[in-house]
Amino acid sequence: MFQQARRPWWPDVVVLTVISIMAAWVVNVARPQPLPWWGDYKAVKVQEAARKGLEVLTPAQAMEALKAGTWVFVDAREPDEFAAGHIPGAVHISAEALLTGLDAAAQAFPKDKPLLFYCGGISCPKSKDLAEGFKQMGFTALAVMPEGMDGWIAAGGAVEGGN
Amino acid sequence: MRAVFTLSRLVFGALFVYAGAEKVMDAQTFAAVIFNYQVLPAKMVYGAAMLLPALEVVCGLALCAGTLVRGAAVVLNVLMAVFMALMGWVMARGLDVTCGCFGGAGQAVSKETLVRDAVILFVGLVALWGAFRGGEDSGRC
Repeated sequence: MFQQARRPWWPDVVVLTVISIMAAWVVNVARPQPLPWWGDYKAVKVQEAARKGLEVLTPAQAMEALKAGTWVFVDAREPDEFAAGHIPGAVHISAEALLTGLDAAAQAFPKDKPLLFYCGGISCPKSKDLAEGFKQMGFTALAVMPEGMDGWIAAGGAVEGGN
Repeated sequence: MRAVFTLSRLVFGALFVYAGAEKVMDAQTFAAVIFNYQVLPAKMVYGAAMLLPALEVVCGLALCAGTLVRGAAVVLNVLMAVFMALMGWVMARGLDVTCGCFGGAGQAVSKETLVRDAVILFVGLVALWGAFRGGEDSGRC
């Protein structure tokens, strides 16, 4: 199908790959917060939450907290996701409240009430964003469960609502 | 026919420059998309999230500029085939993941995104054919 090439094509691939690696490295160094080339994605996400001054709970620790009843669980996912199943007793506050105004949502809680935020999974930023919003409003006892509903279910946590 | 090869090369290259640039801008979101596909070890997610878009932009630019055309066409066609295979894989497993095709989280992986990628792959294969067919074509982006 192809005519005989004048010179081999594979050195082109090597050159392009080397240029790409160098370009990616330069771009990453120029980022405000460079990403780790070889870093555990989950661990980095957990560190991010900790850097924001939030207490970080694993699903197992959150299960203990649920038993002890010390924390109010706040579900930061979409309303339909909450309706489809959530952690027992969780309150739903959509992360959109950050845009529409947190005051109404925050009024339901005294400032020293311990709140534990979660969203879909390790990738979703909503729980951390919402917790930060509450922090700026003067709330003090705030925690996130970065592994979210995915981690909760994987760890065998109970689910309320939905099917 | 030469015009078809040139046009397909320019379109294919420009598409990847655009798609790659969007991902470079928001590497965090692209890393989340890669993680959700659940095919790479967690330790390699960030590396892939930085290297893939760079490869797309560099090879796309090479196609547009008409240099290292054969290598760039091979790399981008292989990437395209891998992306489509991954989409098929996540659809078969019933995972609810976003495509991440053009940066950001983007639309969910579906038959629609698969068909769109098949059209792009077709353009890419024409460009590949043109690149290996030899002969001069002077089109530039």
